[in-house]
Amino acid sequence: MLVLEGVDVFYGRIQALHGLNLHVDDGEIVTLIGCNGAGKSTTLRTISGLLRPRRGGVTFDGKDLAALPPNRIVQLGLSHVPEGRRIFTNLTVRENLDMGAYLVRDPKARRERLDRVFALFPRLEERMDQPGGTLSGGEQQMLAIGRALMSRPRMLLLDEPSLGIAPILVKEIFDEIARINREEGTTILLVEQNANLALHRATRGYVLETGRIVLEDDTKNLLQNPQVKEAYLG
Amino acid sequence: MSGELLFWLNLLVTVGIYTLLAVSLNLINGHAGMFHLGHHGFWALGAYAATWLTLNAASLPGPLLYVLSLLLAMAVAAIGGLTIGIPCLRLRGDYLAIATLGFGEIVRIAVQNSPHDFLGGSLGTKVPRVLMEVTRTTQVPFRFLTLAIVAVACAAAILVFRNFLRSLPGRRLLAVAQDETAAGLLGIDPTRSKVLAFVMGSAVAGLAGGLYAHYMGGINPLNFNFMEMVKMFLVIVLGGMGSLSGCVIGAFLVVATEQLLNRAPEAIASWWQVLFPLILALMIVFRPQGIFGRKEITDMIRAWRRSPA
Repeated sequence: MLVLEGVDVFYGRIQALHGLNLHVDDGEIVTLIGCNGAGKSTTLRTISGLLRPRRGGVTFDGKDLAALPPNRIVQLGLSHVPEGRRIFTNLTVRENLDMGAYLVRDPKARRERLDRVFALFPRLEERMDQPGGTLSGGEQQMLAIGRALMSRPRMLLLDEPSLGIAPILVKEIFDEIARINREEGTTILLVEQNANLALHRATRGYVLETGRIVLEDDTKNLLQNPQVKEAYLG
Repeated sequence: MSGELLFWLNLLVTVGIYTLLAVSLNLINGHAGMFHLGHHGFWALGAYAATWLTLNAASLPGPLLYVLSLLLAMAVAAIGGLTIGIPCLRLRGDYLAIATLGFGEIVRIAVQNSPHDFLGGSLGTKVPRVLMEVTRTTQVPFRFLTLAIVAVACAAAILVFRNFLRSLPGRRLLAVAQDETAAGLLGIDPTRSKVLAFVMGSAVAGLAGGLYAHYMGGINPLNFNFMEMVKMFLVIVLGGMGSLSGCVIGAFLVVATEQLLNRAPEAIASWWQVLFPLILALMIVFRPQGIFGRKEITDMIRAWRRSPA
């Protein structure tokens, strides 16, 4: 479904990704783990068009993404929930979700998507008319995911959904992510610093170190891998 | 007595024209968060477009010509906004400010250097008094009629902008203004949203230009200099970036201060050039959100009613 081949990305003269190869198949949950600065967010930002690879190819269902602006990539069914949530704090919860449904023209389909998101995250329905900025961190993360789901993407890119969130809500959010994958058939590429959590939810994983993929395997093998255990699972 | 009445009518018409300029500038700078410094250019485009039609279609009945020239003023300014907006709105912050400022100055300098038989060049041109067919004079009835028209225009512009901001495209604009990247990641085309706001704002500035030309009965390029842009900016900073009500109050404060100072002896009157930048500086230090911030008068009344006295 999603294929990255030999991708090099630079920030000015600094190379952030070195010949990255990665693929995600239809229906999978794939996780990308690694330390701060390993290039996890850079990878997602390259896929969604916020960064341009200098070399290499990014394709989604065989379509080349490298030349498309972010808003066109979303139209293909690939939705990115950015790090730090970035919800619109001065718009209400409902309006935030409406923004996510920008690509859904049919009002009936919009309504269905809204009901679906409220079914996944009932807290959002309770807070529908509140400004986004008044939500807790965990609720904002739910809103960011819900907002991305409004366009009914076939693939979801999630950047650190556990960041700065109360542990009890983290579990709830990860349960819902698994449910989105199971019930909606949405393919998921999950970037996480909390490797333990991510590896228990995903089917396959990549380990990224200083812009290079150093390991790639099924998550059950990665969980047993002594290298991974020592570096990421502590 | 009549002199006093004329003075106040003139003041109110001017407040109305600045309100139009301020609400449209505010849509672009306040709500859409773009640093636009060329609004005087769109104002001038509207004024000159209206003047051109009035001079060249003199056979039409006055009131019809008046209305047509205002429509043309809006259209020309909107097309100007579209032409400038599409390349410039990819720029951000200071770069956008410089590009739009350049546009505003180019409009003025181009007219200033055009031949005298084309819109008067640097000397300016008279605008035939087409409303005289209705009012017979340019005194009290003319000013009352203009005031009524300007008031209707202000009310219409405020209503349209208010409804736009509450609509889905308007919310989209606010989303883009707050976080362009996040909006783009949801499939929203940020440039399109911004160009839309820019064109709407330009059209209303053009309308203000047409009304101004007909009211003054003559325009020249220096009416549209950069100091006018500073005044518009002061109005929105004073009233509150992102507040429509703030524009009305701000326009009143700025225009009334200027015109009342103008009645004072010359030695005092010229001080407004010092006073305005000073107010601007003080506002930015002590109340950067302006008098209203992002709120509207209606929000405040609602909040005041809800809270127990």
